[in-house]
Amino acid sequence: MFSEWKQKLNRGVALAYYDLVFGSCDIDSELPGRLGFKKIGIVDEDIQVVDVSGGKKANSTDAIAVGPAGAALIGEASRGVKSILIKDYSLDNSLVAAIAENNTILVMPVSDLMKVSGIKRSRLMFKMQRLVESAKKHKIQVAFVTMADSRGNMCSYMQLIELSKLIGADGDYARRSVSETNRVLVND
Amino acid sequence: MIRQKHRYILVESSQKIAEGNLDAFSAALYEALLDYVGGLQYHKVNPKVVKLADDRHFIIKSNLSGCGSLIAALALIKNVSNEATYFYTLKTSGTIRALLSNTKKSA
Repeated sequence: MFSEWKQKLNRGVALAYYDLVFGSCDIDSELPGRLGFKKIGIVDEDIQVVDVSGGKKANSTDAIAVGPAGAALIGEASRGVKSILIKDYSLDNSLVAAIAENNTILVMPVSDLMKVSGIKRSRLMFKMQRLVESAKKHKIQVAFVTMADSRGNMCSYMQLIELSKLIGADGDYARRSVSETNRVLVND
Repeated sequence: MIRQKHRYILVESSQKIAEGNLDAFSAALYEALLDYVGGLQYHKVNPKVVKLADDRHFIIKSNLSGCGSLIAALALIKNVSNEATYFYTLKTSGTIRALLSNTKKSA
């Protein structure tokens, strides 16, 4: 998959980029094109988000399991859920190993960086960076999406790629994630 | 002499910018950018608002090496001169002419 993508990039073929946001963003039909995305997926329309912290389980494997790092998320990864979002971005080696083993996608919502400021943002950036670097080491697919809850927290594809670089992705890896990995999430 | 290369970025603002207010808006934007990029990196970005395309779009110039930092900083800025504002970077180009012609084509 990677070599095919690399060939596309070398041939100068324009890549299609994807994002995932909440329904409260109120997206009109021309906004995705203006921001440079082929499609902006909407949570609960294109993919379900299930909070597994309270012992709840995702109904289908075609969902994003959300929760703190721990047994619940390891269980969801073993069950074959499509993607996982670690709520507190803490690095749990057994969880990372379970994600790598089951080819689960790790979701990184970059709009969290926009909701905090100052030293809190720097700390969050450090935590996210540590998680992304660990994921890269274990060859885990990472989906950099905004998961914005308002228009103010949305961004264009260029901004999404640059924010991905801030949290540990290099240029090619970030572009590949926003293009190929996000496409899997938004079911295009 | 080494020629400094630039990138021009077309930016959409949520806040309306009046033509007479461009200098005040630019000054407030530079201050916000300084906050995000940091004093040690600001010279690498060297931002300059060069043109107002319409009341919500403007073109900002940066050094080629600092272009990525500028795009990331524009995503993180949520407040300019005490007014809630957000920015979308729509296109980048090496020349203003190419940037504007691409924008007209896509419009």
